[in-house]
Amino acid sequence: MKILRRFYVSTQSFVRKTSSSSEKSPQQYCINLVRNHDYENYLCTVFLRRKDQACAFAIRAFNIEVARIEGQVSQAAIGQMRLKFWEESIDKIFNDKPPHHPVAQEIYRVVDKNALAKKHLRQLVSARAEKLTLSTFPSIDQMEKYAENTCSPIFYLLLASCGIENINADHAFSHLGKAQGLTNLIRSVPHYAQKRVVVLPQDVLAKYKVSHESIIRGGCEKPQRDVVFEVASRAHSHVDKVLSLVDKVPRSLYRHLFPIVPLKGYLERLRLVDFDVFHPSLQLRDTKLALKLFWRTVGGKL
Amino acid sequence: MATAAKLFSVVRAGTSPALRPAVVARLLSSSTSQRAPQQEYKNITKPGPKTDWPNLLDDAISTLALREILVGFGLTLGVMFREPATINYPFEKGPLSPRFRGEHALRRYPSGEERCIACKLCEAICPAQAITIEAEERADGSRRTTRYDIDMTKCIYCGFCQEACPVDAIVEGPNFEFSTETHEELLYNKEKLLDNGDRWEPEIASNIHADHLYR
Repeated sequence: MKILRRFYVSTQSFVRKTSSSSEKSPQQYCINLVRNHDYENYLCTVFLRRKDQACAFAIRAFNIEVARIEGQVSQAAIGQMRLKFWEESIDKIFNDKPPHHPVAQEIYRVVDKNALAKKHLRQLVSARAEKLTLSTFPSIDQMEKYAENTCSPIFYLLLASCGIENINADHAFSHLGKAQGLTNLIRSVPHYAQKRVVVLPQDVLAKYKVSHESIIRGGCEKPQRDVVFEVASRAHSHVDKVLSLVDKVPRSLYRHLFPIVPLKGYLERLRLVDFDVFHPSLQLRDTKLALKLFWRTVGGKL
Repeated sequence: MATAAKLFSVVRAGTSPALRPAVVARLLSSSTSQRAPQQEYKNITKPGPKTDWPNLLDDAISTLALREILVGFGLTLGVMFREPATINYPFEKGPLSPRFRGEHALRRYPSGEERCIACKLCEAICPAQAITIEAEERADGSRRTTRYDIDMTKCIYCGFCQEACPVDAIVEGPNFEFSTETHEELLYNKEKLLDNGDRWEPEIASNIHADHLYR
C-alpha cells in the first residue's frame, strides 16, 4: 500500500498539479509536446522523481523542437535557418534574455546556466545541423557518433541537473545515449524510406551488397536483414555495456536509466521478427511499457 | 529491300564497332534463308449468329419481349440504389491532405499569446515577396510585429513561410474557400491572419503531424 501511495505521489501528482494550476504555462506546453511526440520517453520521464521532472521535460521538449526540423523542411537551407534560431536562443537564454518561446522560457527557468550545459545544448543543435547536409552515413562509426551527439547530451544535462558528478554515471549514460540514438535510427528506416532516404551506413550496405533501392522499396531479404542485424548488434552491445555498469551508478540515478527498457523491448521485438525492420508489428506502440516501468520502480531489475 | 535498309543503317552507324564483316555476313545470311510461305488463310472474324431454327426462335422471343430494354432499365434501377459518386459540394466537402496548403493563419499559444516573434524569416524566404513585416519591442521587452501583411494575390502557396517559421506561428491552413470580389480584400493584415488562426486552430493543430519521434 505504501509503495502504491509513493508511486501515486511521485508520478501522478506532478502532471496533474501542473495541468490544474497552470493549464497554459510553458511547463505544461513542454509536457504536452513530449507526450505527443516522444511517448516512450514521456513515460520514462513521468517515473522520475518530482524535482527532476521539470528539467527532464524541458530538455526533452528542446530536443523535440530541434529534431522535428529535419522533417518539417523541404530544403536544407530553411532547416539551417531554423536551427540558427535555436542556436541564438541558447545564447539569449544564457544571457538572461530568453526569447518568447515556451520551451526556451522553460529551459531558462529550470536548467542550471553553466558553460557545460550550454555546450551540451549547442551540441544537440549542431548535430542536427550536420545531418541536414549529410545525405547518408558513410560508416557505422559515423552513425554511432551522430547517435551519441543527438542523445547523450540529453542525459548529461539531466545528470548535471541532479547535481551528481560521477565518472561511472557519465560512462553509462554515454553508452545509453549511443544505444538510444542507434535504435532510433533503426526505427526510422521505414519513415526515411518513404522519403527515399537511406539512413543505414554505407560501409555495412556495401559489405552485404545491398542497394539503396532495395531498402527504399522495403526489401526484407537475407542481405537487408543482415545489415539491420549488424547495426542492431552495435546498439545491443551498448545496451549490454549499460547493464554491466548499472551497479556502479549511484542508486539515486537508477530511474534515469529507464529509457533502456523501451530500447531493450524494441531490440527484442526486432529480433523476434528476424530483423525485418519493415515488419508491421514494429510500428505498434508497446502497450505494456507503463506497467514494465512501474515494475522497475518497485524493485524489478532493469 | 529490308536487307538493304538494314545494311544502310549499319553503314550509317559509321565508326561504331557494329560495322564488322562478321556482322554484315550474318545480316545477309538471315535474309537468304527464307522460311516456307504459309499456304492457308485463317479466319479471325467472329462467327455470325447461327441461323438454324432454334436460334432464330430465341432471337424472335427476346425481340418481342423487349429483353434489351428490360436489362437496361434493370441496370438503371441498380445504379439508383448505389452510393452516388458525386458530393453535394457546398454542404459536403471532399477529403483534404493534412499537408494541404491553403489560406494563411497566424497561430497563438494556448495561453492566448501570439506566437510570432518577428524574426522575419518568412519575409526573407518568401520567393514571391508577398509578406511585409514591421516590428518593434514592447514595454515588457518582447519583440512583436506591429504590421504583418500578406498579399494573397502575390502568394504562390509554396509553403516556405511555414517551413521557415521557427515557432510555427505562420501556417497555411486547410481553408481553400476565401475568394473575394475585390483585390483589396485579399491584402491580409495581422488582424485578419490572427482571426484566421483562432478560427482554424483545431484543424491546424490536428493536421500538424503529431507522431513518434524516433530518428
